[in-house]
Amino acid sequence: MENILAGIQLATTPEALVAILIGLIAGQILGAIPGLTASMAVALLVPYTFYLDPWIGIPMLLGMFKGSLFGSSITAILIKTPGTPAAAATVLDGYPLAQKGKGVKAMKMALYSSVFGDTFSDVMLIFAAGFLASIALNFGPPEYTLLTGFSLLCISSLTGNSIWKGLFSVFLGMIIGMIGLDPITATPRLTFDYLELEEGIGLIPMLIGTLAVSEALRQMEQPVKKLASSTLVFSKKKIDNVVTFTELKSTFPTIVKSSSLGTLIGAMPGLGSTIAAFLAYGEAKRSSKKPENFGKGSLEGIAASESANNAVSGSNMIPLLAFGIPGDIAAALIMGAFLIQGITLGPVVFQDNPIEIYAIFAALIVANLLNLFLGHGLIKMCKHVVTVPKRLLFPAVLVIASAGAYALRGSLFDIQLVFCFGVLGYLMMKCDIPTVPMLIGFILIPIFEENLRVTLLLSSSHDLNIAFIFTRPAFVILLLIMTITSLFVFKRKKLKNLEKINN
Amino acid sequence: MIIKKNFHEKSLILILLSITLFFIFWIIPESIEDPDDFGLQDGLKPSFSPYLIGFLALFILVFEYINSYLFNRKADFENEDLSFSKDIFDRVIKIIFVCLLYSLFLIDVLGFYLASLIFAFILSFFLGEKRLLILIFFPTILVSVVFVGFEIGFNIFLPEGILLPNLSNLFKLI
Repeated sequence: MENILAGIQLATTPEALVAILIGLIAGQILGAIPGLTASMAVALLVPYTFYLDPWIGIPMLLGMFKGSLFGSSITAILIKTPGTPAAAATVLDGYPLAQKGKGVKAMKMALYSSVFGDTFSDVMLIFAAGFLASIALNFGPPEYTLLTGFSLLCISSLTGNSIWKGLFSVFLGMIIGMIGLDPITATPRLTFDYLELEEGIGLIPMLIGTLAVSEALRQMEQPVKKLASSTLVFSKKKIDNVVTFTELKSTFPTIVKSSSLGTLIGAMPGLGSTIAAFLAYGEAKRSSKKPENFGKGSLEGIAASESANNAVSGSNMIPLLAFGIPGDIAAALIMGAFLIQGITLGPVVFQDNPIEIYAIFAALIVANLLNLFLGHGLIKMCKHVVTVPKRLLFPAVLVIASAGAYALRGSLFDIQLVFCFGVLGYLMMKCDIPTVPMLIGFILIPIFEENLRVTLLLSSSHDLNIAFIFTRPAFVILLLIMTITSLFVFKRKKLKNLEKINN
Repeated sequence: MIIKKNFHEKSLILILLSITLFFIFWIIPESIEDPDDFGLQDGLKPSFSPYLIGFLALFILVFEYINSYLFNRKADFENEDLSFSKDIFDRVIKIIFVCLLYSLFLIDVLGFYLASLIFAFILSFFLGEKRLLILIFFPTILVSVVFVGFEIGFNIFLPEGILLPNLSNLFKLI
């Protein structure tokens, strides 16, 4: 209880609250700029948190992530440009509603359902993470090898359109993660005696390059004339600019159902918010009393996709906090920010840094509440934000990305890495190879490799018989749970592919 | 379109296969020197994991290539814009060239601020900004914001470059 109170105190100091506010405002504005995705915006900010007090930098980052998620739904609604793939489902009903002059109503619905979905999943995170972490404390190297291997398999199979491309991407990330000194013998690996490479590839330059620079390159290839220009008309009638109590009441069951679905999907590594948003949208349409309104500006449609995709953001921190395994790119970015502050997330963090963990929980809830109030302000000024010209935006993104990459280690090599990974990420996008598995593979390879090698080392005390792992109850139970989860997850993926073919 | 997609996918597998083979048979042996008499009882050789990943990638690519022939399976490409049009290719090559020039050469020689000024000017021009006033003011404002944020806000000093400090030393000598 003392730890909980201390955590709340840490997250609600005036400095932390101001940091959350700044993060939210910056996130909402950056997220609302067409072309700047939520993860791209956060990737640009991560290196700067190193220079701030941890309890200013981390709440700012959390606030920024939440703000940018809502901001990205604004572009989806107003100019049919989803800031994240997850907001693509919001376009289906948000844009038609904006075309009718009800853009403000659509954005307010998106805001309420986002905040609800987010808070719902944060509460689930608070209850689930500690419990799972206490179980994870009993895990040894064989269990960790299995867990990380399973997460890598899930992420590679479920991200993108093709299993082999996901797997190749994860392998590529693992190889890049092996560059540097061998963790056991300290022998240089894949460095070609290049001194800069012996330190290994930095996570932050890789994240910035793959997320921000590659996306900027992809957008810059578009013809010059394709600049965002808003031709929207906003209705002046009061009823078109508010979400009435009746509308909120009628969509509430959809919001709760979609939030639960999003939370469940977010807790499994690799499934991500896009699947959650579309599944929730489909389910809302199936169970709606007016399914014919979907795709024509249904508030229920917006509520379903927004609450589900935001619910993922909280629950995907469950595997991160409980096992130290980031479930998706948002969690990977947060993990990166903690790493540069010297905190390694995982089950031990509940023992080593309990106050910090409770402070994160408190900061998440506070950020949701503030997001609700600030969102209203952003809705008023969004007409100006969505018209930032891309020809000026992207040079600015690239310069800020370079400065950010340099700031962390003071190395020019990191700036070069940012652009190299930018080009690599761009080529991967053009070949339809997902970049997220590569990043997760890069992050997880040290845990996976170390545990795999220690497991094999342990087998030497069992006459080199690797079958000893099946005598460990935790390993067998984990294997059973994973087999059942895999069956469920792959069945879902198969259904999704079938739906795609039918459509 | 499906034929085109299948062709692209098979070509992609072949390219990746070549890279993987190059990695297994040249990069790993050339860049990792395993300590002598190091085996399973010591926790495996440093080259174990790269080889493991390399061979797994090789297996998947070969399997996928055979699979695509045997079952004439449709390609998984969802991206409709598979081929670069000449226009896109020209633009992307120019942009990548400017980016690499900026990161590999300009920052090192001219320093971060001057290089960023030139970079933002050229890139905005490439992207279609033709108004001279904006072309001058936008990079200046951008670089000033970065300067205030970093040097004054965070006390981080970005690279000075080789040229300007040397020039100032030269002037001092004169």
